[in-house]
Amino acid sequence: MTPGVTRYVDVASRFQARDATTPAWLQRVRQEGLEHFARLGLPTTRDEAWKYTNLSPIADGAFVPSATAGSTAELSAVVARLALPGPRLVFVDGRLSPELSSVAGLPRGLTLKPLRDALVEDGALLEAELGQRALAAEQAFTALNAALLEDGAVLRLAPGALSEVPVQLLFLTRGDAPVLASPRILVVAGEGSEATLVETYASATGVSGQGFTNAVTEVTLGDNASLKHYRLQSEGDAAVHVGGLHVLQGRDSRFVSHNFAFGGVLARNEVSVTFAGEGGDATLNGLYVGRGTQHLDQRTALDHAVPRCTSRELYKGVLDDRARGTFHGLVKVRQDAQRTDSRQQNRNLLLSEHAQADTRPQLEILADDVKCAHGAVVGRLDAQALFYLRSRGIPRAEAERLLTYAFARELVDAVPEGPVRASVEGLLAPKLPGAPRTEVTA
Amino acid sequence: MTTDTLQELTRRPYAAGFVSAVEADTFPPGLNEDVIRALSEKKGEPPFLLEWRLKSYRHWLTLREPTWQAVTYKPIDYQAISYYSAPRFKPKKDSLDEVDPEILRTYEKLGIPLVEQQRLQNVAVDAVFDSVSVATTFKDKLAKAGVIFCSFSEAVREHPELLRKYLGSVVPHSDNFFAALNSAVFSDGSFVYIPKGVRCPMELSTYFRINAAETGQFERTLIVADEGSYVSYLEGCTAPQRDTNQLHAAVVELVALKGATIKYSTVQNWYPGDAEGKGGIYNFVTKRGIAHERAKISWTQVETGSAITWKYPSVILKGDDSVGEFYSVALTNNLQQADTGTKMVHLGKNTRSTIVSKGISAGRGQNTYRGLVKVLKSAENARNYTQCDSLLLGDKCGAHTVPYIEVKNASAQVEHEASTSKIGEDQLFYCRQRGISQEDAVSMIVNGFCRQVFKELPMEFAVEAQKLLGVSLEGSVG
Repeated sequence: MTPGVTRYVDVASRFQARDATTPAWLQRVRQEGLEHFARLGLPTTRDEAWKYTNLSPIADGAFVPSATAGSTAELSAVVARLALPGPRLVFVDGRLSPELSSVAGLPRGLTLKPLRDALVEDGALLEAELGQRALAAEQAFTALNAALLEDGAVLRLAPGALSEVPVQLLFLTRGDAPVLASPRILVVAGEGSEATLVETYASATGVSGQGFTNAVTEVTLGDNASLKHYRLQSEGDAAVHVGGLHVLQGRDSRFVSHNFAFGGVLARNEVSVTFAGEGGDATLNGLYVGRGTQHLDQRTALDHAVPRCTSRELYKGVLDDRARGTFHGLVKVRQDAQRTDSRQQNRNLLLSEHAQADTRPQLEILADDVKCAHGAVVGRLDAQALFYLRSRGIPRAEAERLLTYAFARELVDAVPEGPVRASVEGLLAPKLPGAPRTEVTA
Repeated sequence: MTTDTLQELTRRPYAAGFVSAVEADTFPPGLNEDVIRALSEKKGEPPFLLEWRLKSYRHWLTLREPTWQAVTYKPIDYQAISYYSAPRFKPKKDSLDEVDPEILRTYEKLGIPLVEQQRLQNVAVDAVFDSVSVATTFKDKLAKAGVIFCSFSEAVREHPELLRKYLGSVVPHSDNFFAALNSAVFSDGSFVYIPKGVRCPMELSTYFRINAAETGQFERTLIVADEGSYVSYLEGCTAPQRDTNQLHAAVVELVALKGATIKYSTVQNWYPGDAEGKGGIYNFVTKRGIAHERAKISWTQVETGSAITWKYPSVILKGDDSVGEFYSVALTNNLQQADTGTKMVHLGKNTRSTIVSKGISAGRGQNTYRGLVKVLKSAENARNYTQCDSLLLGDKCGAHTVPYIEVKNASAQVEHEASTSKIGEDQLFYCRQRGISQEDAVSMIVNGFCRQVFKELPMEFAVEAQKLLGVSLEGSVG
């Protein structure tokens, strides 16, 4: 084991030894997570899945879980800024803050429970559901998350339940200490249900915020269910973030993911979708905007395991200063998955001569009656468009800002009008060129 | 479309699958330093080359066979291969009259009549039979232009200074597992040198033939185009039909100096194995070119043969304004596997590269495009356009696209597009409605699919490539 791995193993062992009253099944889940993590170790750039991402900020960092959320009253202003109208759970440094949370107005048919409560109350159910979509045996970070399993949320949609109001999970890190937060989110959507879930990750201290968030979300969509999922990841520029979203889609279900990656010195956002029933439809949208020395790594995997499913994917990157953006999108069409229709696009805009982009769209196709296409582009702003604007008296800097905004805007526009879009706009604006560089995040 | 017509057509025999009765000098199987010494001695090589071979061999011993590729095969026993096989006669002939008539007949059967070619066609041919070059045509005419076109062994004897300078300069002996093996045991191949400002008066061509059983073919091709010169080089390959797999691990190095152009075309039709995947050639090849200022290297390949094709002809765009191109058609039928693509490494300013890859999978074939476009910091205004299309004929085959794009310079413009589809029912219906048979319609559509690549081939080769594609595909549409 490398020193980094040893440190995390120690941290997790201490965490597990802390509490002897834990139910046996949970103890086992954590124990197995720890064993898998110790076996897998931290990925290196020699691992194909991590080829372009150096994890030294994680390997070298001395991150430890926080015992409690502490006194959170002083954070209410930050929460007020980031909170959406509707029910929400708020976590501070990875721990639930009951006084900042509010599940009032939760629509009928929806249950939203803090994970720590659900672990006690619904043990039998969770034992069967946790770790089904995200596999600790295969992914080091899922294993580490399992080893530290404690906080997070469980969202259940009763069959036929319809919710217009977004449910928000707000994860704040104070940002003044190297805290390791390991939230686990479980979504189980019954047949024909429909809902919107927003995960917001932010640092309370703004630009300088540090800490390591290792989040895992597991989603199971029943037949004909529909989920809109938003991930607004905008921690401070010193933070480290690894997020995994794993989805299983039932027959005729619809899943839309909007992945906004703005924050962190190192952030990895993974989305994997498996179609388990015919007629499923998935849309994966992503926008990553980096500057300074940010490293933003996006990975998506679409597994067309059954016939007649549709997937659409658009990821865009805007990279300024010395930022580096990477994209790896895998589309797998299995032998029986006839009449699959899949389209994938990755477009990268480099704004500075030191910015970098790596992109790997990947198709693996084993069925013949399919329509699959992918495309990837790396380039800078269109010189003609710039000239056009300048010829009309718009200063260069302003023209660049406008064009960059237009480029990113496509993904903001994909978000239906309302409080979520407003929240995205609020987080994006300070990231674009020309914006003041002092206060980047919340 | 019925599967019957499909099967009927795929059963078409491999036309180049005969064995020639040529007496051969063959080393017993096995590989160690003594074998390499014996090989070197047999070929009368200077000490520097033997040293280089031994250095490569020692390095090879430290390497592990790569496993990242999307192809599977039974482990190769490198001690069960014979590393040298030569038709029994004095290897180099001054005139074709001295060549074993059986060998000439072999080439005639393959459609490469060396004798006639002398008179009729304006293509100079170097024919490599198992491990050694048996004949090179048109030497005089080429010599007048100052062009050196000879077998590798001859180049070792007559132009050691050129070899010493360029051998391993593009693909170092330590490059990869198979390149290291080749560097240790390469037997023959072709050497081309085009002097400054010369436009090679004819197409140059090498024809590779594996005849003996239990041998590997490890040839090495080195082409050096000096400043401002031009050469078009063709390569063709066949092997007899055998039940066992044979290894072909070649290395091709291209050096295009300032303002030079090298056009390298390959029609690869090694024996692909039978319908059950028995036998066939493992075609594990390292091909790379280095383009200096304003130079251009263009790879065109039509890969229809081999049980496994695994190669990535690449271009290092070192000089400013240099150009790299890669045009490829790869076809896999039955149990064939292909993992092929290219690497374009942009180092110089204003460098441009184009990649057009067409993959066709039929039967239970697996076809992977794997490519890298890398734009380094120094490559101001680099430009790349990549297009990878896959055509699937049958529901048991696979098509995979694995591009890597790495951009470290913001002025770069890199585009990648890929699509995967099958032949549309509407396209077929349109053709049938106009009285074109199902077969012809499919062949027409497939040819149309590959047109962009075929038009890059020299004419005679384009015709051959179309025919090959027809044969390899026949009936596999259902």
